[in-house]
Amino acid sequence: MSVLLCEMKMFALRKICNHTVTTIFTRGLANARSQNNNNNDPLANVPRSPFLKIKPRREACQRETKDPREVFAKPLLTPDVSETEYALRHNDYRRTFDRKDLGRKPRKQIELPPTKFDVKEWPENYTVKPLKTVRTGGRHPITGRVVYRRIGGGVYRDHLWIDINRNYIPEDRTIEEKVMEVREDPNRSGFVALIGHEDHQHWIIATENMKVGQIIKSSRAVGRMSIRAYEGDTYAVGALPIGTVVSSLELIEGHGCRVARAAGCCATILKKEDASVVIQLPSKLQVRVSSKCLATVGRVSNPQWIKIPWGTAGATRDRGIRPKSGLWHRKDGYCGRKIHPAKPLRNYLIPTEPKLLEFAFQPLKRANGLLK
Amino acid sequence: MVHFSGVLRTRHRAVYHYKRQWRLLVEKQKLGGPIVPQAYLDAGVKIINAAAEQKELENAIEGHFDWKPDHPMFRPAVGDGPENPRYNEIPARIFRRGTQLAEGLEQAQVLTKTVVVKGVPPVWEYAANQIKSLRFEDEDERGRRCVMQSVRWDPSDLELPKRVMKYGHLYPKYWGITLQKANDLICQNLLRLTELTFSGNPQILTRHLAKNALVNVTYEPARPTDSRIVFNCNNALMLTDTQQLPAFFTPEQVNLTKETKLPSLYPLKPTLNLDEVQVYDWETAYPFLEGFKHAMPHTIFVQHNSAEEWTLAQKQSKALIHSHATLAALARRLYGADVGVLPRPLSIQCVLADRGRHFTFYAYQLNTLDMADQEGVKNQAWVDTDSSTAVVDDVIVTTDLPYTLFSLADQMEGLMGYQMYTEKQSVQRYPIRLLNTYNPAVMEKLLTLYATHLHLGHHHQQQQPQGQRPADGLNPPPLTEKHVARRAVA
Repeated sequence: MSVLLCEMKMFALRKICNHTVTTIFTRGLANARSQNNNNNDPLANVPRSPFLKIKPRREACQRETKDPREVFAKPLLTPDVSETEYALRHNDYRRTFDRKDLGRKPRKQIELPPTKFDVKEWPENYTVKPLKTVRTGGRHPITGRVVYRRIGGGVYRDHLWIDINRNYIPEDRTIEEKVMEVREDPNRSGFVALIGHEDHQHWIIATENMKVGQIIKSSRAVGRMSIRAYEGDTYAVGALPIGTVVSSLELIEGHGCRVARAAGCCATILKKEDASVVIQLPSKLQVRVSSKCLATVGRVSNPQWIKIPWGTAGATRDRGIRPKSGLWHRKDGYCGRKIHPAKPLRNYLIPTEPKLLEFAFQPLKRANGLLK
Repeated sequence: MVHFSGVLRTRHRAVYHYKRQWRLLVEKQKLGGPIVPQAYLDAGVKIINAAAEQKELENAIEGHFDWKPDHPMFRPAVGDGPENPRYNEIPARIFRRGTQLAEGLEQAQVLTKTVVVKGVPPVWEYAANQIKSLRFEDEDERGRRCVMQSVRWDPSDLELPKRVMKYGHLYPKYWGITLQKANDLICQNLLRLTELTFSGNPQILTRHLAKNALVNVTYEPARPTDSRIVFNCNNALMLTDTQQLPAFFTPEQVNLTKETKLPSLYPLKPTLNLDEVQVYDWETAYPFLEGFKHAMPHTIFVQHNSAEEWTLAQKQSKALIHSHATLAALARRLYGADVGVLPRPLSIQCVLADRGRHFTFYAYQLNTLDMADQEGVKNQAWVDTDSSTAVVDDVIVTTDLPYTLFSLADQMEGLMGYQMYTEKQSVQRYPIRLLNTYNPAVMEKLLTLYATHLHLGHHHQQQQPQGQRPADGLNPPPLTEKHVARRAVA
């Protein structure tokens, strides 16, 4: 009973401080074990809690008890990591997987994009200055193992922080901004524009015909009548007329403009209702989205990017893409025409429940000796 | 592009170069000590951790040296938080070295409430005629030597910035003359040449030269929604005199500024590109103490040494704000901190030296310090550039260009402001036939600027008879009969 109470306290504490729960959790269990040490069965005092995820092995529990005050007085070998990172290391890939392993690849814990250069330190507030980056080498950021084999090398790039939230756009009126610079960004296929408004500047993804000195309008207001949309302006999706071509789109209100940002991409507004709007994304998937979501009018710049081949292997290596295996894999699923039924409409207005926190019981003894 | 930290949210931290960091951790852990078997501890064996003992010894040795020199490198660095003595709760927008105003001259005009007139003030036109008789015969050659010294001959071995000409190609490290060093040398040498031409005039004895003259001027916000403004300027060279300069604009012209309007920056504000900081000086700072007689400003040299691309208007804004700030600090000292329209306007001349190659000249007059109101009497400035006119599609287009001192300083390859390549053995340094694009107009302008508020005419006498060059740091003294006689004997 005392152990259960202990656990419930830990459950409450976990919400406050993530990273110290491992120690507290195991400390409680060690205390429980030390109380009744007479039984021969090593699993007698291990509580059977509903949070138990991994079955403890008997040999792992057969070891002399240590006073937790002694064990945990020393600093841990590892840096401050949360318990979910331990779970990731345990469950994550043991080796690299390629497209030929489609039938055998385990489900990923986290969807990782194949970035070549990741930002070293994100500043607290938004800046227009370029940020320093670090080569990923196709490595998983937590386990350090290779996840994407074809990433490595390439010309070093700085990162320009694209403002996806644009919180300064008001909900009741329209503001005017000036385009001060339009230039290439090595981190993306489309061009990037520097927008100036009053005291501050932002980088956004440039639309097709954006010119330096152009004045663009932005607003989050949604009225009964739809607005005459000019290219480059940013409006709420509910205010634009049906048939408008739109880029840099927000799917969930407040989560940032993440959709339709590649060169030449655009989404189309199909239907409109009071509080929701149906949009067709570049992948031809139709989505129902809140009418307050922001979007910029027009296609993304540099539409000819996909038609221009890079030309040489050296150019591909300059972009940080390593060569691939020349062997033909019969069962990779690449060849042939794919005919699939149209996916159903995806509704982003249904509120998603927050994921329940998953607890993992970790045995004290590990092969690596991470926990001392 | 979605980044890991955006996908992972803040619960996870990305750890790249995992093996390297793991090795570092393991090395740190060695200080904790090895795992000692219980049997040794029970037997009472003495176990010493050598790494920890070494560390303790090193700390003890450092502790003996209590005294440390009073130099910034021995003091712990103070952060930008409340522990900094210069921390203020109210944030301010600061103009300092490296601030690049996006809208250039127009933004500086709105910030400093000035009306800009493009042209040459009448005082300079009048002085230009009088100076022609004072110039040396070989002034051009001396100017060329000054240029070559600053760009090529100076033996300084400073680390040059990274060379980025081809995208992706890594160049080795180079050492030589940096842009700042070249600019310093050019400004000092040209100023020394101008002082030589006026060396017969005793009025210049009252003039003093100050280097790195720091100025700090602050303004309260005009409206509650605005922010404080701070101008923190470093004038590379500052020529001072005992008396104030005469005004460049007549009182009628000053009154006419009430009707002129400042340029509009809509939808931008003039505080764009000014960093918002909480560590700044709120006090006004003028480079000289109150009792100093030679504190009246005459000319300032503003340097621009950045290798990045700036438009001419952005560089001109720097000159405008520097000259405004120096005069504002002086006005606050003379007339009090709350002064609005000045009883007597203050004037200053300014030279903008762009990487030791391009020069523009300004004459600034401060009439008011009332920045809260955009109407009323305004400050004024003359902007002198070497403008070129061209007819494009039946339209006369004037472009502002700076006065270039030289364009090529090497016959083989055009230098980009500093020495980058190693010289080949076959190139002969003498005779000097390398600098063929030298422009004597810059020297002429510097002489006219120096001659302001200087009474030329019968007071001036040439120091040495014609035909003999005055002593100069660059040339050796000429041989005389004494030397010839000695050689014959030896």
